[in-house]
Amino acid sequence: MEGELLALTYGAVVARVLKDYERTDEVNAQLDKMGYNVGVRLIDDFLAKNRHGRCKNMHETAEAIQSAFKQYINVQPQVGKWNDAQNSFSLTLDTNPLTSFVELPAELGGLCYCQFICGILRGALEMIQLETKVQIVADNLRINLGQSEGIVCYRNTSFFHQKAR
Amino acid sequence: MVVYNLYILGKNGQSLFYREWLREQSSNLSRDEEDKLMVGLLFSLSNFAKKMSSSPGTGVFKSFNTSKYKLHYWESPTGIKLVLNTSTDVEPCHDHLSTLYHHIFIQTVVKNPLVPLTEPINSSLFVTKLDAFIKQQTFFQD
Repeated sequence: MEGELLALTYGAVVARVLKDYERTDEVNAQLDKMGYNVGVRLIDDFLAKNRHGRCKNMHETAEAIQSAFKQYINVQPQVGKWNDAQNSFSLTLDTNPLTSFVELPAELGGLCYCQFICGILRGALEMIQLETKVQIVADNLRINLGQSEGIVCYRNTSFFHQKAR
Repeated sequence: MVVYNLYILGKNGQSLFYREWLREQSSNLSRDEEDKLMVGLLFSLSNFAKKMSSSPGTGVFKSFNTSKYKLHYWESPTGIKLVLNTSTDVEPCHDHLSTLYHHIFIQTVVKNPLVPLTEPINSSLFVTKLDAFIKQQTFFQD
């Protein structure tokens, strides 16, 4: 029941933002900004609930992100596609509660529906001194990307370890 | 056993909150200057503690004592700094500050979307809960 309310609320928000901004790249930017604002606050809550201590490397960070997903939207993503420098990885969600009832029409092909989640990750990680870039790599809502499985991928591309501000 | 005052400083050293219960001598500095002084001191002490620590990478500055007061310090992983000044006979209250942050600050300030985290905090709910929390501590005496 809770998942449905979240999905429908998020859908209403995206529809509203679309109406306000019309262009898909601006809508993506707005969704990212909204997610960012959620992320900077969510990280405190997450750290309060899991007294984890510092993650020593990206692998531990990835694990922490996995447990966070499990806690907040009840879906555990798969971590994979590590690059050589071990500072970039992808998260794959088998089921995405936000897109349960969504089908994107052809004219909204450029819309990253789940940019909100990317924003959350970016905001949360920035508050713990980890500057990252999070983007959607594959999205089952956008048929022109040719994805047949129901997966959504995210990737962190830059890693500044414990950059003191 | 007396609690003197509490500072909450933000991630980039900005002044988020200040509350005093008992202060016999004011420092004649503006709120801003006093907070900047505090941030500078805490930054230096934290770095010092980290560098001089016996095992690498650990070493957290928790409190210091002067002849008149004891300063307790706690920093969140997201950079929010809590500073509590009490009389010298109070036990180090690192845990109390941590509880204050996790149960009061997060619930009333962080989770409230209408309270910005980079400006002085203006939440009466937070002040009420903070007061209640501090007053029920064993080391608080009116």
